[in-house]
Amino acid sequence: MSLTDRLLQLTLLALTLAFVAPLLPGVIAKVKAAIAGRRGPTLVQLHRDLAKLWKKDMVRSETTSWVFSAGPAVTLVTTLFAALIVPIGPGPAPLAFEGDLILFVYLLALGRFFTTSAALDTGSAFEGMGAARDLTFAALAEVALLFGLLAASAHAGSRSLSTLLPTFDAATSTAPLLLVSAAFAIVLLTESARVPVDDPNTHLELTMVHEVMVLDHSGPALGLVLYGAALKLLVLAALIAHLLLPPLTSQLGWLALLPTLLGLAALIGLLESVTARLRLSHVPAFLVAAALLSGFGFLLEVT
Amino acid sequence: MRREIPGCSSERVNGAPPDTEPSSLALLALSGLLLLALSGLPPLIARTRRAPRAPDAPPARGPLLGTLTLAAGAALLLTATTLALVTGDPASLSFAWALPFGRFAVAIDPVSALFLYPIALMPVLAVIYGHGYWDAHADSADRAKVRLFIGLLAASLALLVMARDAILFLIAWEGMALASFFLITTDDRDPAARAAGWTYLVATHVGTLALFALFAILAAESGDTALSAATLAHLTPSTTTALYTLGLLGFGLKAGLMPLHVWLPPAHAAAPSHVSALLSGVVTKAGIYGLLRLLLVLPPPPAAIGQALLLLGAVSAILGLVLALGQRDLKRVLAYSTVENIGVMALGLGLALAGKAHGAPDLVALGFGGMAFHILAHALTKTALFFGAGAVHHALGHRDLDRMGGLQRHLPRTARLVLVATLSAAALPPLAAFASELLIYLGAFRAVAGSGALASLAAPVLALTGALALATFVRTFAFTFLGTPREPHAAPHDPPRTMLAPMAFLAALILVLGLFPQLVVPLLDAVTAELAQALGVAPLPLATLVPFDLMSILSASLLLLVSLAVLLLWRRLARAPTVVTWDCGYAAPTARMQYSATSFGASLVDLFAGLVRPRVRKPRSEGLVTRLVPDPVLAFVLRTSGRLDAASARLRTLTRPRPGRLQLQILYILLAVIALFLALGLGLGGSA
Repeated sequence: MSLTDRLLQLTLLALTLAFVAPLLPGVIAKVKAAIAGRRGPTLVQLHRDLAKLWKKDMVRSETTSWVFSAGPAVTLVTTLFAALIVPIGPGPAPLAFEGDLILFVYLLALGRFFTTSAALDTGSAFEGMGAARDLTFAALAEVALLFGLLAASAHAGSRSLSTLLPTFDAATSTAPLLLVSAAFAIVLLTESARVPVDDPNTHLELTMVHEVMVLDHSGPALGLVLYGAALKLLVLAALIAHLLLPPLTSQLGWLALLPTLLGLAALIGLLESVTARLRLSHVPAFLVAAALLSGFGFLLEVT
Repeated sequence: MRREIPGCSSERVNGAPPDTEPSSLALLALSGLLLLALSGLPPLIARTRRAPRAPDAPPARGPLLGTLTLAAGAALLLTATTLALVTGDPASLSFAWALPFGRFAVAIDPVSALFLYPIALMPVLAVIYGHGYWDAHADSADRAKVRLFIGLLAASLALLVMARDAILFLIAWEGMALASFFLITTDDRDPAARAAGWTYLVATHVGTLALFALFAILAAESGDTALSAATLAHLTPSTTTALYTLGLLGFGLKAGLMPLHVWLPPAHAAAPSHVSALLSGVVTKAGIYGLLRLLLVLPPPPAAIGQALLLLGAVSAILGLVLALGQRDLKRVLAYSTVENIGVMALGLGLALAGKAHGAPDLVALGFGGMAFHILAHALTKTALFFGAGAVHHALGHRDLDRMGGLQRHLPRTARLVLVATLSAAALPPLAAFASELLIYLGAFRAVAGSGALASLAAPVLALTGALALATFVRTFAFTFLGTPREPHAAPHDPPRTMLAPMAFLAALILVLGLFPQLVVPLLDAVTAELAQALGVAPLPLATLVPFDLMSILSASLLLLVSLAVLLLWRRLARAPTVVTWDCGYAAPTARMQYSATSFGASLVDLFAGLVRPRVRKPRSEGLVTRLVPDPVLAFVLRTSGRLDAASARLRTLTRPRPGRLQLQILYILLAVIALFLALGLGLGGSA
């Protein structure tokens, strides 16, 4: 890749991270509103919210310490790092090296450590409950993710996301690809706290998972949390988009990628409109199903 | 060439190798070892003529002298080890001794060196920590006892990893086992400590029996007790398999591989914190060392041994953490996490053996390299965590996670140091245990490309382990240091500097090894090369398989950016007005309303309820709901031994002499003899 191509890619990537990421929750909300027969908030509602939150003052709980601020801050930094490892757009990601997929998984885990610790720092019963649920679901989702990456790695003979995602395509291994994509979709719904694992619209603390962990954040800190969540949605959606799309080679690949990302967001909106969230005790079974799907994908790939 | 040495070997059946010219490095290492062993004497002697001390008196001279002796011994040992590594001098020394069997033979190879570093370093840190620990509470009789046995433990561990003779190995092994027993039962007035000590003693001697059998067969096959590959190359595959199986039992018991871990949690909980740190960080590793030494001296194991290690490793890693999540005692949580880490090392070992079976040198390098790195990373991490647990215990007087909380306010420095170790224990970047697990992960991912797809299942196992470790260590850290105190306590405070300094040293090393794994890569490469050659595989340098330099840059920038982001946000947040925590509109939250550590762990433990059987006790009306997660293996052992007891009581009625039933008893004897002959006949037929 030439230098100008590289610069162009980095610029487009920066723009995507800054503007497309907050657009995805906007698309989800818009689709849900349309199906419910409402007009709904504008597509750029999150952009506006972020701008407003940035100017606001903060309050914090009297029990909290610096760990409370590490929740939003660390999650944002680790998700940004993860966004540099996953190839968003054509060509290899800015950070592509042997074993980067493991760093990717553990960056998300580092963010989770501090999100849950920040939740427990408030001393709230509900936030503790949310943290326990988040860690429980993440444990199972991580297995599904790893099996999928293992299948892709077996196919591509590589241990870098930038090489294995484009190589793992429908033409050469249809069934594993479908199984792994389905599993990744469930991981996406879990990690970004969507129906049927979690309901971002619920108003009852007792039933929340991700939302309840960030209840005590306000102002810019809340803005960081919301932006971090949108970024995570983008990164995981890009992972799936790369599985579904043919290998993107030229810079024009962005033209295919962006609609795919928005389409995935619209699909999530559709799903949220037609399904209810699962009972909490049934979520693990759903996630085990995801692990089994990618596990079978892995088996098909290696046998 | 062997020749008879006149005078000292006339009673030998076999010709003994000649006494070699003693290497000066070996003498250096042995004098260090001697100092380690003697370091417990000054505190012991000083105790006998002790005058009553004023509270602000300078530290007692006996313990101080002992610490200096220990440090000097450790320095000599470390110097000898490093020189042996750098110069490639095997530092060997061998002479015949007065015992009828064996010889005194020692040497330092890279595998010994890998273990000698933590063996020399950790006891020094532990006794420095002990200065603060003992000044704070217990009486000096316990203190002198602990010092004596820490010195003996360090010396026997060092001798163990240097021994090149089966008899010397067993002597050192037994010395280590007994020193550990006396350390576990330091507080022998406590029935729980005595029970833990006896459990440990039984477990370790079952292991020693297996090792006796192992070395007896070895000596019978080679006609010599030397631990060297040269005399053992002719072993048949079936003998080799039997020897590895015995080794897996004997060494697995010491390492605490599940289901051989039953002694480990009670022992770690009963001992003083710095002793638990040594048990977990160094003593359990002796089991892993034993397995590695077997690999070096025996012919390569069959593939089944590697698969068994992968299976045992997976079980230990996952169930170890599930049980850790069910414990309320902080030190039992850490003890079960040790079982997990031993499991991760077994996974690395299993991967390397799978690499040997499939002819993949990259797997061998990453498996051995990852395992070796994890030994170092875990020794640092777990020692720091046990030191931290000791500081918490020192501050509160108990170790019950359900009664803690908010300690960060009172122990800010402990909290920061423990956080570094906690992040490493959860294998998070950019810390040491992440770097070591990364190597094993890479091995698992490389296995998938070759024919060893079974071994690549280590990757999802590690993923589940990582996620469970994350939950375990969020739980230990948050329920100790964050939130508000769940119980009123009298202003606890940071421990004295003698306790903080060793923790700070360990935290710094954890960070440095996480950021710059290149520092230990030469050692890892040397260990890997030695083990790979023993397996007959071409050694591969780790730097060709892992982009260490790029990882260092990334880790450093990650650390920098994360710290910067936290600092910036906290600067604004610290000045923000404070309110009560939002609790669903509840206006007067109390500390008792916080989520409890038990409930926090329950949601994950319940996923594995088929395996671990949590016991919940719900009182009818008022009272606390209690929830315990008993060890399933221990429960099984107790149940089975109860049944065996009952069965043997029933059998005893058969042998009791009763008038008129003599014929029947003769019939039993006849049947038994026939059965014995049949068994022997079959056995002979099988081997012929």
